[in-house]
Amino acid sequence: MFEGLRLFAQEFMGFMTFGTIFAVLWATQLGIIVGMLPGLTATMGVALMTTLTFKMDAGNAVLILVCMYVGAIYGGSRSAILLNIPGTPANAATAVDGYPLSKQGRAGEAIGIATVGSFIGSVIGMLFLAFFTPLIGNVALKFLSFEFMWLAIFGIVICGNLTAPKDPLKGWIAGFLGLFVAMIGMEGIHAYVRFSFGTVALSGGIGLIPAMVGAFGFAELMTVMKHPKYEVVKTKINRVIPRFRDIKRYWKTIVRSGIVGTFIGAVPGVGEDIAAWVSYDMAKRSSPDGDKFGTGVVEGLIAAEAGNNACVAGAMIPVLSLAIPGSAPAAVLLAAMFIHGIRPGPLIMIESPSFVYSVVAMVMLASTAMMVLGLSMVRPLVKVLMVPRQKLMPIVFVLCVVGAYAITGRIFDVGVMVVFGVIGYYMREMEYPVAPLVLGIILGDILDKNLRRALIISDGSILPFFTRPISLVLFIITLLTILSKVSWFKSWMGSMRNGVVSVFRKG
Amino acid sequence: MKESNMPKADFLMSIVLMIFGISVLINASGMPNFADQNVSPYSAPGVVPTLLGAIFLLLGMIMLIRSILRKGYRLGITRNNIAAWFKDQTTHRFLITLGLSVVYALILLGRMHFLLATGLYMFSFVVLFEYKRGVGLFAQKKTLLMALLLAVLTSGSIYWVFRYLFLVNFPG
Repeated sequence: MFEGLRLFAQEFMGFMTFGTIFAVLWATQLGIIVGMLPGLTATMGVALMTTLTFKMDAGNAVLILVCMYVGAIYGGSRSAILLNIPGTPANAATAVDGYPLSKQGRAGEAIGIATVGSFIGSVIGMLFLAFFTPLIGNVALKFLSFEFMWLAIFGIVICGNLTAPKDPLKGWIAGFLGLFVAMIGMEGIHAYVRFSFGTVALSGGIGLIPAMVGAFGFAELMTVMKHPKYEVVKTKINRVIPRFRDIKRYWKTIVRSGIVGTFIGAVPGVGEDIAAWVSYDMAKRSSPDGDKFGTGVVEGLIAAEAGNNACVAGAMIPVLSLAIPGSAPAAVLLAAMFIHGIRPGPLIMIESPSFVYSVVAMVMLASTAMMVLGLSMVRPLVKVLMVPRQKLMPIVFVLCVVGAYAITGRIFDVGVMVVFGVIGYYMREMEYPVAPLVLGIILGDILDKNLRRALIISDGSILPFFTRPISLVLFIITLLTILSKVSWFKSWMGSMRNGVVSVFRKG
Repeated sequence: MKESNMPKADFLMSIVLMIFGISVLINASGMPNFADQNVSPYSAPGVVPTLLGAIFLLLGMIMLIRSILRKGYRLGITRNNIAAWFKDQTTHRFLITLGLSVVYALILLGRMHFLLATGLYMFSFVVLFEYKRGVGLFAQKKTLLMALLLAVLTSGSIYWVFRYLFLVNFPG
């Protein structure tokens, strides 16, 4: 515990140089602008910054990416409040109460509250990140191939469940398609090339960054351009800094949303959008003004914003402890860490414990910068939202192209980006979530290697998958996650519950 | 997409998914197991693809049954529906965006200099979305000039930043 605090203080003080603070400020500000602009999501922002920080040293590169991530998730609240268009999907719940507030002429107040809510949420997430990463890392040290195989399947199933609550079948299909995408190219045990159909370019596999830039960036761009133009609320932005009593009044909502957001973030592949909706929903249920939510209630706004920003730090917990991303932008962050030679995963607390606390310090710096910039540069930034999208979107696409191309320098990756953009667009149209697809691309390799390794160890027996204690727990959780969405199981559980209740009542 | 069209989309998608699952299974069954090299047959590259192919087939079948129960097989593709889709403003906007972006990324890039390809793309994108039909070209010279300026400035600055600050070697 104290060792953790010491390492945190040491890493934090290490960042206190003029150059680093300047980098934190510009990266967070850029993140806020990226987040604000509909069509540019946090995932896109982090992917583009990965390209830009390619030549930097690992520490600075990761710091800039974390700042971009934190800034973008917060920045999306600005357009959600002023345009009723969430700048990133994470801010959809913010728009529900944020936009009515701005129509009532309280845009400044809404922005201020969203900023402070985001900051506190982020700090709560950071505390959990510092506390839980070493714990989970220690448990994960006991994982063998059997457990990693279940972890990959569980990640897909839970991500499908939560990102497609209306129709989890589509979430699972998307996830398994992602696992398939990871099968393309040379595999890791015999170096056999699968599904390349004789193409040299495909034998190298599908790159995560081009696929993500396409599925999130290009697909989003087509969705934005398809719809008729949006209008900015003509409102005067007056007082931005919120009153202390407003924050104090909703402290329970903020803390609850922070905790909920962090835990949702830590679930593989389930990102800020779900975290914001769940926090919002919980605030709505527990608030005495629950029925007024949606008409411009400050509590709803603050719940959504605390939830999505807490999720950012939450999503980094599995990145650092298991090398499995908690959200889509965290997946890019993970890829960037690998590019820079950092190997997160269960061994990180043994190999480089200071890196975990370094990331905690980065989140702290980014959150502080986000609050300072969020409360101070409101009016000039509103002008960015006035740029017509037919002028902005081609720039976004050129950045998508450069982002996909720059890391490997292959035109083939631009093609991958375009293909995944079209796939991503049609997936949205048909209500398939994109996040499980991306998670699948990362988990595919883990599944492939570990399932085969496990079968080699057990000489083909599948029993150890169900008899090893941690494996069994993971299997039962996976099974229950699937069954919780199956209608006959739900009705059976309902009748069982009623039966038990009636027995107790009779007794 | 309209909610009422979802079972139809699901019906088509389920068939595609089942065909995909079967083709993955066929492809995986043709992969070697390296038994001649005296290695465990469980390390064969086809193990996980076989599992995934079977899962696609299963999920496709579940979706097919579900969409049939929701009457998704009544596709209702008529000439009128197709004509209405083509006349829709959102379709036009989508097709213009997709078409321009595909031409730029897959055809122009690599065949001509990055600056020229990007400039052309930016210019045509802005002009196609801002051009007013029925108004003379001269009357819209401001739109054209703005598009040209934007094309030159953005393609130039993106090129400069990535080429000289981040040392990316552009194609073409």
